[in-house]
Amino acid sequence: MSADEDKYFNIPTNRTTNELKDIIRTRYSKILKINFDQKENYQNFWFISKNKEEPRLADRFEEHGSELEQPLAIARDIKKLYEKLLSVKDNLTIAQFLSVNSELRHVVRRAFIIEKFPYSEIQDNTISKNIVPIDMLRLKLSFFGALKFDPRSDKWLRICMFQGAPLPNELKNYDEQWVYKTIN
Amino acid sequence: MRSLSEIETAVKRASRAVGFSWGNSEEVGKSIRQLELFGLQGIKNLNKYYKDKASKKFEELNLICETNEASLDAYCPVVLGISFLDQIKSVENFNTIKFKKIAYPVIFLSFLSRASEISGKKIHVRFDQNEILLNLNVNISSNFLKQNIPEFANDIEIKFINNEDNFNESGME
Repeated sequence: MSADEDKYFNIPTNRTTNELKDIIRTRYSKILKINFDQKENYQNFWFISKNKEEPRLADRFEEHGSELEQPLAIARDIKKLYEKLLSVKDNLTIAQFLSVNSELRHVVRRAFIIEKFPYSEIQDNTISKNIVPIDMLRLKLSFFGALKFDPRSDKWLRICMFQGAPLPNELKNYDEQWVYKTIN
Repeated sequence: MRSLSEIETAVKRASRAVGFSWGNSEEVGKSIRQLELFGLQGIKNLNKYYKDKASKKFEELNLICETNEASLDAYCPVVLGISFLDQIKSVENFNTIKFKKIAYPVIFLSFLSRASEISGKKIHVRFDQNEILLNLNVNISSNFLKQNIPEFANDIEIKFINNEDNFNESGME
């Protein structure tokens, strides 16, 4: 599980706004259908906890601090970028576009990364009222080899790793499908 | 000792806190990480610059020409660096690019180093009495490694160096 995203960190600023629009239409088609004028679609925000420096979720209408929001509202920001792109000329270079729209730079970068890595992004609205963080957590943990998920709430869960995996003395002759046999 | 990844994250958050957009803050994080990797004082200079920024007004240059002179006290090295990266395809065609008055030039250097990698050419920088060669973001050579890097550069001259062999054909035989 690795990808050389650093290689694509630099924004290809010689490309055009039209190309960027095409990428967004292709890669974020579902995101573009979300209506961010509706309160429930931007109800939450992500912040960093002071003690553990981990991402946390809060209701922007009930709690203070949304001005310190982390750049994790990708769906909202991609839609904002797309709407901005619709209002400018098709043949502008990305350099020209960014010189007056620097607040959208982080999502311009993400759009060019997702062009190369289609699975680099969570294709959902991460600030919606209905977001269930544990879904993302389960996905991430499964990449690390987690098995047997035991949700304790919709925000945290216990897991088991490598239960049923071959022991060192069994490595010469083991069932390669062991992981699937221990799930149930 | 802090890891480069911690440095990048801390710089990104600090840059956001002083008012840069998230995207610009990501650029600063990446650049300062690179400076620290090369053993130059990235964090120290950025910290001083952000303190200065609270009380002074620095000029933000978005369109780079062959000759550029700040009308305020000095150019902001962050906005200048990001503009340089973004406009690399046009500025690399200039013979020489000249700037007058840049605050904390070492911060600007970090962006130039990345620009060297993007353009695929070495970049020679002269500011005041100092000379620096940026080698495709692989290393930085200069004639003042043991001195503190000045906090202000009055005259800056930048040249892209065309790629050429430093030997002739007979040297290959």
